[in-house]
Amino acid sequence: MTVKTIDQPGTLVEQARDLKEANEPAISQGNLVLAGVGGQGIIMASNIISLACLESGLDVKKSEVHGMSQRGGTVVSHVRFGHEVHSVMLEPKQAEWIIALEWEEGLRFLEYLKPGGVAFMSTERRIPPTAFADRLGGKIDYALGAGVPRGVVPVDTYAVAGEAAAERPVIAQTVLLGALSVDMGLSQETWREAIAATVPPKAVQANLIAFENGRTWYERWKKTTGSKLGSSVKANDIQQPEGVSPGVSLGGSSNGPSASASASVKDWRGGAPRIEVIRDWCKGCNICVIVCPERVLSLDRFDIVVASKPDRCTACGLCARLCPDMAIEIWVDTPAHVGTGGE
Amino acid sequence: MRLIQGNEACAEGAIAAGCRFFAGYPISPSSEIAEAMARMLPRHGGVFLQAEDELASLGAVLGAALGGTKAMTATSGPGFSLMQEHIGYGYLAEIPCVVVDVMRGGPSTGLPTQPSQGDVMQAQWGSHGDRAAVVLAPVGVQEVYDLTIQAFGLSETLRMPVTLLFDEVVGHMREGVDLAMDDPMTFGGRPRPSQPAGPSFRPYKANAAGVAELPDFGRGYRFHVTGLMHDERGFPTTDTSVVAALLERLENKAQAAKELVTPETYLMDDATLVLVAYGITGRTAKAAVDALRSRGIRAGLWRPRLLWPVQDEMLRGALQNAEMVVVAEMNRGQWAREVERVTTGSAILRPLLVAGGATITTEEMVGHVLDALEAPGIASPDRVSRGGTGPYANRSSAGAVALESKVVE
Amino acid sequence: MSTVMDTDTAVHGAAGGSVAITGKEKRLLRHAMMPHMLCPGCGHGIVLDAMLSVLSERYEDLDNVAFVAGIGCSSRIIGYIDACTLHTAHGRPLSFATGLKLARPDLTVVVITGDGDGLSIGGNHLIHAARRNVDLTCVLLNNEIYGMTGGQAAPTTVLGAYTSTTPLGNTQHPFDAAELAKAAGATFVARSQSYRPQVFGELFSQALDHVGFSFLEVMSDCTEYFGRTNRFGEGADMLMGQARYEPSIDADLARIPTVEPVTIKQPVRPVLPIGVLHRSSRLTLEETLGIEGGRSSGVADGKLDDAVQRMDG
Repeated sequence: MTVKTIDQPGTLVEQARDLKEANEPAISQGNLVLAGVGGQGIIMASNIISLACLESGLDVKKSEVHGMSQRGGTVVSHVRFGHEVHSVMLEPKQAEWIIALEWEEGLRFLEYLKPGGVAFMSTERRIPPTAFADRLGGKIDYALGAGVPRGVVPVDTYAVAGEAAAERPVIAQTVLLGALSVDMGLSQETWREAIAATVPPKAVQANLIAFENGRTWYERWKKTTGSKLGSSVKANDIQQPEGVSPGVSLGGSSNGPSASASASVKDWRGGAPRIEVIRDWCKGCNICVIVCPERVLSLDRFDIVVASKPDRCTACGLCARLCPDMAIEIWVDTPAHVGTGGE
Repeated sequence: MRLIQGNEACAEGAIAAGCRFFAGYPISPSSEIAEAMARMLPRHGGVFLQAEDELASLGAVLGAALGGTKAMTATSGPGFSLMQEHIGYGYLAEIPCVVVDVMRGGPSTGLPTQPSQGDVMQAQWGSHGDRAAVVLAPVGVQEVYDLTIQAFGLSETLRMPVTLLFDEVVGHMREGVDLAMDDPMTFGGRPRPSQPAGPSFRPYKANAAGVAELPDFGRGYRFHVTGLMHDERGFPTTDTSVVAALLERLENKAQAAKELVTPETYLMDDATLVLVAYGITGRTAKAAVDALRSRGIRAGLWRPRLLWPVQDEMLRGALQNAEMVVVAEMNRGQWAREVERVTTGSAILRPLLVAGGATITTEEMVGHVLDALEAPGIASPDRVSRGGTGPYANRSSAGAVALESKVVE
Repeated sequence: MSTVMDTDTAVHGAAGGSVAITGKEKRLLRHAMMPHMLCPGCGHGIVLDAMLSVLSERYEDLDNVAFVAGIGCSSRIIGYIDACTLHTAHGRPLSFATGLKLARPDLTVVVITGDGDGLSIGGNHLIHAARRNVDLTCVLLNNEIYGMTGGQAAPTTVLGAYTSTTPLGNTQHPFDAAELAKAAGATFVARSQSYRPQVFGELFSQALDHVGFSFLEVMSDCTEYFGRTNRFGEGADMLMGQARYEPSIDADLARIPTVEPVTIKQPVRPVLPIGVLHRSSRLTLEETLGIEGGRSSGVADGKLDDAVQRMDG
């Protein structure tokens, strides 16, 4: 596939004219946040979007955060496109679109949505081990299952994908791209080429079907639910996966009395975490040493865990959560002004 | 006064005693108890649960009891075998409940449903390990009612499972029964904790009576209940002195039942020939005493209502002047062993043991006594064991002759 | 150790201080009993911690939560929970719990059992508790072996696996506990694992909220016996090996195929779906019995009188 760049201005002009003639808004620049859980195809989806933009003669910058993905953790990608893009990272309230392959991850990144923007969020739910926290809170500090916020289009990706979903789970991304394509306005052919160039050859056909289904579904949704509600959707409009009763608050109970404390922690960005080991309880199984992403821990000559590189600790809490002996605690210092927030 | 069945009287007694939970599994000849409880409990705000087996039945009963409810189950031999582990559990964990065993012939599926008194030893020794059982044996329908209430009283007061043991005949017999109990709350009820909740709370610290003052679950106390040997905190221990003390305490507290249940005595004052019988056999024995008296034999009846723990002192006292003791029971010789153990002096033991599904008639009893006295009389049928090759085969017949002369003169 | 008691106080004073990011659940532990008796690397400890984390978010104390367990390594964990805990006979926790719950519907009753306790000796009680839909939360810790007795084959041990009673490889097919519970009528069935304590937490939370019999199987590692005998590595290796399971909270995962070994000489541990596997709604035993606040009210509408009359003819 040939990649067109902004060095070929004619292409852009032609593209814009084509779009205009098709009575669709001409897209010259925009911002996206793609979020999900490791293994869901975030990176592939953002590659498709980027490729489609490049094909349309736009400049694209894309960031990826997927350090914990091998542990089923959060993956997020920012995509910016336009005539010329300099900065790659987005600030909150800058994204025209959010693509979320996982519901809670979508909620987590909803703050990036621009007023009037649209978040296409899969109703699939997977709680990744590390998204339990914002790596500082020790728990999920965003609202779990609290209805559908303004601007969110909930998509039951497997249902919409239909037969193509047999190739799950990676097919869900293309359903959302199909929906996105309705609003984003690049030509359908460009999208199809980008998909074909990105996904594995044997999955092309299924992905194209999923793309088409997503596109059709969203067009119909806009005419029905979307037109009724404008850009806001009520909680009971959410399409739950089969077998899940609507309104079930997934782990809503996790937001317990200490939510205020974790919020305080989140607001604060300084200080070093402190690792406390109850030596009498540790049995030296070595699990924490292996699971620590930053290799902070090791066993001493008594086979008891010690924090040998404490300055590396990010307080993700994985060691404590996976310690069978409950021998590890993670503490962080708090600044003075947070003090009154506790219970 | 109502004409009701023994099994119904058991259910009536349970309700009168405040039983509000019953779990059971159908088995003849006890099923009528479950059926009656299924009808009555909902009327009294209680819960009836038909369980998947006898293990589940007694498990649910113990769970309900720990929640603070008086609870009961009823079964027969095969089911009683399955319940043994839980009876041991209830004993060690000190959970009150009543277990009714309406005996039928055994071992195994045995004789459904002919009467038997074959579970007497099992009621004491069926569960593994050292355990002191409290077992009551009613003689008729009225006593089923009364002793069911008493079983709850003992169980609650001593915080342990109490077994009510009767046979198919008593269970299915109908008699006029006075359901007005003098005072169902004769006993003090379930001991409750005198210590406050908190880290220093010791659920298994015994009171003066040697009974743990366990709270009910979910009443502000947090504590551990286990079938492992435990210390006063309720936590597992293998400390031999702690375990030994625990076993001793549990055994000692059960002895209190001896003072709380009285045996029936009939014409015992001058009796030199004592019939010892319990349950349905106790009725026949009473008639046999009359028949023997009419022949000039100074017979008397000692009928225990409490089979376990054996009221050694009372029994020994009753047999003090006896020259011959006849234990009549519908098995191959179970409680007779206890009588033999308790008997001191020169009294001759001539147990009358009938196993096979038949009850013992008055004529058989009288014939057995006369045979034993080597006096001409009614010949006993073959199915009556006169000792034979069993454990009681060889007590001196010379003594018997001597006894006869004494008795006859 | 001294910090442990303070962990429920999240923030100390206005002048700044320390916040415990983990460890709040420790206030629900019986500290006098710690450290626990489980082997190094045993997954049950992780599950215990995760369970207490959920409970510490819900309850100040566990006065009204009762834990009922059977016999085995799994069941022993209740001894470390500062609640009303009932350590029953082998295989029977569901029986005790059913009685307790019916007598005291005001209590939240959680049953902790293992694969041997709950599926072998107590299998009958499991299917009947599920059938009755009694409002219990049953957590079955599946370590695929009898740990406490020294590593004998369990009803969940995969074909071909080596244990002390299967020196030539296991010759018996394993149970799928979740499928069993589902087939028996459990109205909430989920599977989790010790590797993802947060996923466990979410599922445990849902199981607690569910009205009716909820069954939560947790894949947990026996390092000392199952792992060592089958050369699955140490605790950390076994834990990381659990990454093979696909986690999802609400997805329909029943379509993941189970891999069967060709012969018993090749033990293959199946990749099991993680998440909510079944959810349905029907009357609970408490509802059918008409129990309200510990009292049966089944006679209020005269139904019982009619029924008794009918039976009496």
